[in-house]
Amino acid sequence: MGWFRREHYLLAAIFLFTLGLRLFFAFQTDGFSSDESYFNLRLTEHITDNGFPLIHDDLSYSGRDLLYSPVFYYIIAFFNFFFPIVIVAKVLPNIFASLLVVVVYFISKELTGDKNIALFTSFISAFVPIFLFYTTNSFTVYSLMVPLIFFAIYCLMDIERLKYFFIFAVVFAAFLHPSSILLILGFWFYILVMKLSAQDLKHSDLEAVLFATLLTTWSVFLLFKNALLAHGISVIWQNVPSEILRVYFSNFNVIDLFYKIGIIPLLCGLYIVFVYTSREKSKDVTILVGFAASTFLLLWLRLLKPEIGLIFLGISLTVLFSQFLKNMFVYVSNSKLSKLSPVFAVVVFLLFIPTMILPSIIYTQDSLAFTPEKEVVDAMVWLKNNTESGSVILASLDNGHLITYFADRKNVFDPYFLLVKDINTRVDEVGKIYSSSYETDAIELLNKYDVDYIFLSSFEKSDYNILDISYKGKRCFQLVYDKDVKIYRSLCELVER
Amino acid sequence: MKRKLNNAWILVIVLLVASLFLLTPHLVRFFKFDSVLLGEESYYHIRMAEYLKSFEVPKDDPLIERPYVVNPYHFVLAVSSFVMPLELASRVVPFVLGILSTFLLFLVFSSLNLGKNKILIILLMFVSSPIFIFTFATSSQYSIIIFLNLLGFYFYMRKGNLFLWLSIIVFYLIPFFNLFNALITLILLFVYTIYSRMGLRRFYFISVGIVLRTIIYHFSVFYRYGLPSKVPFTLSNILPSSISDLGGLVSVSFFTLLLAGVGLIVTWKRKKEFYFIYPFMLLLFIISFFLGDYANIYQNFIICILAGYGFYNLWHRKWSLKVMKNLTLLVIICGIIFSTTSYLSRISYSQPNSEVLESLVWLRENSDSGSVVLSHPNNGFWIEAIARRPVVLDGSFDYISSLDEKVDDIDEIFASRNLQKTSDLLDKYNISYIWVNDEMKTGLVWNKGDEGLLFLLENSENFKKLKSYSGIDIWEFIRGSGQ
Repeated sequence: MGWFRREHYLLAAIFLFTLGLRLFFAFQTDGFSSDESYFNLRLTEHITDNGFPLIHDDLSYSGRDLLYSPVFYYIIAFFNFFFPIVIVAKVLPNIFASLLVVVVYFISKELTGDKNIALFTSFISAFVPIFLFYTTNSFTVYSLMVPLIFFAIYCLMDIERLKYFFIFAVVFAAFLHPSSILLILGFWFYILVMKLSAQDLKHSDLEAVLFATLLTTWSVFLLFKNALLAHGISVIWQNVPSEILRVYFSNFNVIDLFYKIGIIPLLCGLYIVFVYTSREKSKDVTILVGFAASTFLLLWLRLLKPEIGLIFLGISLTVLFSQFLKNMFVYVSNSKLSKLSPVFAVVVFLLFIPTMILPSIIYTQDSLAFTPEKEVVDAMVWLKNNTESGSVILASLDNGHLITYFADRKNVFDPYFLLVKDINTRVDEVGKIYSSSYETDAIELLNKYDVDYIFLSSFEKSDYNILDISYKGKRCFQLVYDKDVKIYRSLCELVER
Repeated sequence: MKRKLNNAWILVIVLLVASLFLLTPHLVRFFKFDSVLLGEESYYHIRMAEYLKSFEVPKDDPLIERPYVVNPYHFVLAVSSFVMPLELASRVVPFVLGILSTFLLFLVFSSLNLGKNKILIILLMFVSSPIFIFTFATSSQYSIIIFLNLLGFYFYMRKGNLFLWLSIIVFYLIPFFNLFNALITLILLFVYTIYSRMGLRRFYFISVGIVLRTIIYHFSVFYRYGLPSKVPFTLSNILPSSISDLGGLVSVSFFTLLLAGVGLIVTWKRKKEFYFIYPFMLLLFIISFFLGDYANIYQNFIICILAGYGFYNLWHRKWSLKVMKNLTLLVIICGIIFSTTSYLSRISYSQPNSEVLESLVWLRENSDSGSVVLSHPNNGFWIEAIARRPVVLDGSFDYISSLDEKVDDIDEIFASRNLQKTSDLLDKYNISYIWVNDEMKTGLVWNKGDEGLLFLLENSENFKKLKSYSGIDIWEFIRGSGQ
């Protein structure tokens, strides 16, 4: 136990604190804060029940093929043999996400060589608001993917010593999720910056990057060959409908960066990026700068979902903040104020409380409001108990996965767009059904998608800016469930003469 | 004791691998599809070879409004058919040409003193490339064009008048196939002549002959029938049609392309030695605008050479991390094997299958010989060759009269739900039968079961379903009933 020193105990304490904080929020509600979680629950449950992944989903889009890497779901399914799925899906992803503080500690220590700064950075990395918001009460693969990607970055910093860990991290990430491409882009940005700034690039780094690139590319081709064949190069946008793609980015602005990443890590991290691309030279900082730059570029080109991009950017800048602290303390200790170094440390810590810790806690608390409302879940359970098993339910995009999970019925669409043909038409036409004033138009489209029931909750009302469907009083639509949520049965069929 | 690789072993390994890849599609189809011949154009070649076999050179194609431009590949098939059935000849001839081409490529590389390991790697890249499999596993005129180019080039490289005359004989055959192939041959010869500093006299001697023969042969065809149709080109499909992993047919595997990138970087350091490759690549790229995917057949040689250099460099360079070297090479080999096997599987299970054959044989036996059959142009060669019935359009648009009008009319027939309009157009082309397969119903023409003509077929008395096979329907158009 000689190697287990004081800082390791402190790191363990930070890890346990982070985990405790996350679980505290996660167990404040029974549900999950993202609809994607319910889709992931179905994928996991299918593996638990059948032993193999769900390849053809009879419910999503009323029947479609799925394309994904099942590695994450197998891991969760393994634990599901011992514990209930809801517990596993809440606890395990939070354990993975909490491991980020350990990875950040080691990266910061590698960057600065100062264990106190590394511990402090590790502590504040637990509070990156967007990461906490996105992964605390969600069952998502990013809980594991994010620490894994930063672990691979750490291994590249000392590749000779950590080569086997690097291989493990890259292989695992490549087969876990296609976002591993982001890591590869980051590595190539690192090489580019090293070349542009005339720094010596070690052969071992280049070799490791080459291996990672080839392996990741191959795995993406292997796993997503059908998507590449179906969508070609536009698979980059994952077949996301253009309207939704617009919404993703229309809500995204610079102010978002301040409260989703944290103002201090953002500004100090950017300062370090500036300094180390212009004056100073450090290989380890360049790796992180490369990764942050590639993420920023993808965000700027709208090739990455804003939340995901901000998570990676936020953590990269938080880690770079450790270098800022190091530089600041070196500066202070070499100045006349050297005796005030401890005071500076306390001030920095205090500054973090109002600018990062409190906002992230409030932000995470807000995320709990995104769990499905009880009325919505009740209505879906009613659908499960009172409709035929093959019925098709029309609902908004946000309710798509909930229909398949809670109601166990077919939906018309949900946010899993890959491999869906004519997705833009489908999105437009669902909008028309909800907002149309003409019964015949609505019936024609309802017939087209074989819809049996129309689901009307607050999501549909706000998405399509309606209070109710305007043709509700007619003989073709029977109100079968009338509470806060309404469910109409579609009865008519349009016959062409 | 470490055994040194000698030429005989290289040849044996490469020819065995080539044979394996070329035979696999035929074996799969033998067991799965009752040995139905692979490809679309294969059926056109087989049909024209049949005419030539009976010592008949048609002026026009008897089953479509298009002049018949003589193609030497049809003669080769016709001659081979005296010793074996034409269907077998369509498999054997490309296979033999593929093996001979690989052998010739080995001889060419040996003459260039590339080094045994490099030759082995490049040749393995070549025989495992999707383009090699496509060219020599399907019955394609490019099998003989590539063979003749390599043969002529090999003779051209050798010293002595005998070889010069032999190369002249071979090169003079190439203009009979295609204008662009003659052009590429000329460029290739020019580049090699400059590179080897062998003097331009030999080149002039051959090029004058090729140019004259091209002018005499092709320009007389152009004068009579106009220019062949240009391949529709869009930037958006250049990537998917060039990379086999993205669905391209005459295309390069992604990993080979990646390795070629490494090879390009490696050879860039010796750019004075390799300068001839760069303009040649550029020219091929420009030619691809006219030749379509088929330009990739020539690009493939350069890509395989560069990929071979890339792999060789990765293998022989000094690595700091041995484990990374082993894993990187392993991933590359796995990637190439994955691309090749996935391409082999795709091509082996591609259409036509036994149902297509069965349905078209039924159509031949149950329709009048002059009855015009409507289908997607992609199915045209099969209908002509197996059902022996005329079509409006087939897979080749060259020299077709009123091409644009025909394309528009067929699009209109497929898209319209107006019975009167559809009947008029079917009458215009005297169409009696409509042959619809699954590919047409699932994206090639329609996306939904009640779209355009599909709706009319199901709901109008003017159409009668005669026969259904799995995924294939044959409809008869009954004129003047219930309109």
